[in-house]
Amino acid sequence: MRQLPLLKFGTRAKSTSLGIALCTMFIVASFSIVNGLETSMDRLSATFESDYFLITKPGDAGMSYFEEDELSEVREQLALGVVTSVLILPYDELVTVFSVVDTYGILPAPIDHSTDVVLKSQLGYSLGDITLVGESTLNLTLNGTYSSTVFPSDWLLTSQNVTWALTTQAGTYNYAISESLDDAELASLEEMGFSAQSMVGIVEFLESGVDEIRSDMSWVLLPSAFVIAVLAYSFIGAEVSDRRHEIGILKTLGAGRFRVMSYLLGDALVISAWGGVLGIALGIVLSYAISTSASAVFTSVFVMRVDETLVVLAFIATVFAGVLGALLPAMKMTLSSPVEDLKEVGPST
Amino acid sequence: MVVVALAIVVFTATAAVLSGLQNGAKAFSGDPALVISSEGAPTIFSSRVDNGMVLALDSAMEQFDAEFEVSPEVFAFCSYDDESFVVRGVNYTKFGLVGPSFEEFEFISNSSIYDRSSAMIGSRLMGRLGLDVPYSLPLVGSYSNKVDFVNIVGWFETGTTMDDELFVNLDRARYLSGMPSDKISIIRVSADDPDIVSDILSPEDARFTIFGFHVSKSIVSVNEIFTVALEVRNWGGTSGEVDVSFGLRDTSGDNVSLENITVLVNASSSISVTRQFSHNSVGAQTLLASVGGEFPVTLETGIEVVEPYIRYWGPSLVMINETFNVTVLRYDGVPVDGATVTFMNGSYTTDAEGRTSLTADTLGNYSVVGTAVGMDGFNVSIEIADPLWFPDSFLPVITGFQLSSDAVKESDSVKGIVQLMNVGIVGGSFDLAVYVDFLPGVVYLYNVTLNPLESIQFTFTLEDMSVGTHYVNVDMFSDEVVVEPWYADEPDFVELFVRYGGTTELSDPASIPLYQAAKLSQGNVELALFSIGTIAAVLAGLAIIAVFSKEIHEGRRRLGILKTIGAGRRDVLMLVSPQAIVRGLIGASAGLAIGLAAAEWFSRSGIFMLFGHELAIEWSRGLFVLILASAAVISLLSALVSALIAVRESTISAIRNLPDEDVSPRQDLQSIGDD
Repeated sequence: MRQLPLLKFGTRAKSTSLGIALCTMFIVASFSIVNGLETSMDRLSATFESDYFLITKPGDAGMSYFEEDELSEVREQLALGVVTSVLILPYDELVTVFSVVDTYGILPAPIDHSTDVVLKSQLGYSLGDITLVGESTLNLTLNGTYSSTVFPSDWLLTSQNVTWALTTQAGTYNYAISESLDDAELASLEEMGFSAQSMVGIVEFLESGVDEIRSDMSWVLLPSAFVIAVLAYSFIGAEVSDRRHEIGILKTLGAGRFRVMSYLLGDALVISAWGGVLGIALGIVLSYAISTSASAVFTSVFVMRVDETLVVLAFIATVFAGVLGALLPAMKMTLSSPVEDLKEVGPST
Repeated sequence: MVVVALAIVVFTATAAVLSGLQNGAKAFSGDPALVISSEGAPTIFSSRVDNGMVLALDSAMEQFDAEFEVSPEVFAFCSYDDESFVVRGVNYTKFGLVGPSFEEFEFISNSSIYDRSSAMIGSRLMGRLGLDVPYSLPLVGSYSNKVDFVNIVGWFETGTTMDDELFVNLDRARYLSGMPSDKISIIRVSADDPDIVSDILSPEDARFTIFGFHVSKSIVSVNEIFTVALEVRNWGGTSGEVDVSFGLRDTSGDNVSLENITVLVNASSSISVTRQFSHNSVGAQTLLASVGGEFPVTLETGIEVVEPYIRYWGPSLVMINETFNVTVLRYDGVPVDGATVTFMNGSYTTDAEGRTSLTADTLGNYSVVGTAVGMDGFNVSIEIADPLWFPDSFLPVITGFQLSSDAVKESDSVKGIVQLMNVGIVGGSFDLAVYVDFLPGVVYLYNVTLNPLESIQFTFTLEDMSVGTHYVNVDMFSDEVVVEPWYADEPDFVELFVRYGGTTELSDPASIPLYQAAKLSQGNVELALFSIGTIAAVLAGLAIIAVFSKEIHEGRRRLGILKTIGAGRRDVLMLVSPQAIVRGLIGASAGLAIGLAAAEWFSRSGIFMLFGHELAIEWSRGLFVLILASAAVISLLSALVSALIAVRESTISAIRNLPDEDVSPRQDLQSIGDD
């Protein structure tokens, strides 16, 4: 059996393809904007690259305690510590006290402190006797100062033993600092219930921001796919309206429903694919054209970047929406009676 | 009609979301309040405004008799558990007067929100992070490696983008963002009537102020010439003349006019005025400069007229056989070159720095006598001591104290210099107590280390002192400093007025934070979003045309019959157009309603995020009209295009179900006209 004459009505097919191409171009251009933005953000993030990660274990009330062994499966060389809020007397106010054990020299500047006295940085407390009230109460001596760019100057530094006594969590820690972690290590940490934060927040903030924009812009698929589906629906609807008599003859001659359906969806597939390819080409050209012309107009402009994966996604979305849109009129035609089809007056040739 | 409605739904929702994206950067301002950021900063969060501006604006309330409030804020950025969010440093007291009202507010902790490590979390961020209050949250630095953690003691809901943020106190945010202690990111301003603020900040008429009032000397001798300089700023929209007066007021309150001048100042510009005066009455005087106009401003500063004299600066106790320096200073602190210093029968002449070296070779109390031509001299006593006299212990003694300035501006710091000596032969350290005012006062303790018999100068800094006169006491010594208000005497403040005048919302250059950071300009962001919106409109139209065309195509045979029995193209157009338009408009109305509801749902559901904030769609009248008009135009045009397609069908081809004839639209229109 010969194929149905595809693209018989050339003008309609071309118009539909062009319409679909416009939709695909819209998708590609939108994705290009996000990619261009991502490139700019990456460049910006590189300025603030961080090699350090703060590792904590989220619990019901925030930072919970963990043992060193839990983390050693992922990374052995860590700076470990305890940080807690306590009441300081005689000042009668809340203050943050921390300890850190940096056995492997992880921190950018050494701050290891092992004696049981307390050190201040910028706080205005007098040196001398103090009392710290946490889970337990300790009488200690504020005996000097420390300096650090990593820890706040309104924290008090003391030894691990003191923080363990204050928290009554001997042998455990509630934060760790690590040098650069790879993706596998980050995934392992997450799997083990830990949270790893880059110690330069803007890096993740920008990356997350781009992800959010990418997510937002992915919604452009929805209107585009909808219009592609409507175009395909109209095209196949007009096709079956025009060729109902011919299809009726084919059915009479033995063409099964699957074959008729495949003819019609095949038409939709070809129209959508053609429109998709054209749209991708136009989208790429348009993206670079906009970038180039905008560079001439605006002093600061980002360059749209076309990503191969997203181009493939745009094409698949286009074809899928086209075939989906054609499904309704194709099914209608497939399920109609050949007798009714033959009653339709065919075109005189 | 369903497809028309769906197409308009898609268009409306898309346009609304694009509008939200376009306004996304304003999320950093939180609400439509006036937000002031520094002019040179490319982004709102790289903005650095001097904290003194807050004090200046506070003062302006009294000056202009206007009701508005200001709140300083500092931005930091953080991520936790794969969720990024903005950390906003606020002064809770001031924010409560300016920021958006709290629709809901719950405080769940024994701690105070004013504690250093306390934080409040927005309701949406709390949901995103999936945490319950209280919660200890680890934070990191924004731009450099830093560790921090806060105790979240409560949550709030404002109904603004701030619900996606974490509030901490200003110092916490400064630490996280690495911002200096005297800086803030932005100033939020609110007023019952924004027009008042607008009028103050950016008047159309000429309006003048004076600032940068500077006197060359704070102490002058009788008839000595001193120079007075100030800047006159016209922050209005037109140029104009203003009278500037200079005068003196003595301690009894009597005013003496020095000079009145008239100056012409162009719109939005400043000129410098410099004058030289002298005075012949000894005593403390207040120098006044004033400007008239709608908002008269008077600036004043103190000046002391004295008989000329010299003074001694050096130790009061020295060890035997020790060579020590003394400095001879003029009444105004200028070193005196060529002054004569007599000590233990020796006569010495000071160098260009007013300094000379003396050696004490005999035990006892001796006079140091200084003389200089044309000025009163000094006669001070110093003690020459033997180290063996001193006890076998640590005995710190304060031998002198003075402040570096006797007058500073509010939020400026002042240095204190303490002359210390250990009169024991054992080294050690002690807490030096510095009292600022009494009852109530503040005591600062500084740990000082001294070696045996060591004499040192210890310097400390006093910051954030309130306006007024403060007495600083160290041991038996006392000095005073006058802290003057910022208002109207600070160039940046006046610049601030001019620079940000007239905006009742975030100014455009400051409202594009992350776009700018990513080397984007507001222009190309808007261009990109407008383009996407236009394409969305075209696509919606395309969908409607496609489905109308299909309907018309299915009815082409009936149209052909109508033509056969005499219907012209105009008749066909008149037959098809109303149906298409009615269906189009009904579908568009339904689509518009559903689309707006969908957009609002999108906005509230938190599906769309933009740099740590939920995308908020601002339903302005302009946006609503734009969407409404676009939807109407799309449906009408689509209906008309579809009707034209129907008209293009030739009678025979329609009846015989043949493809369209190759007739151009122009021929169609001509044909309709002919009919």
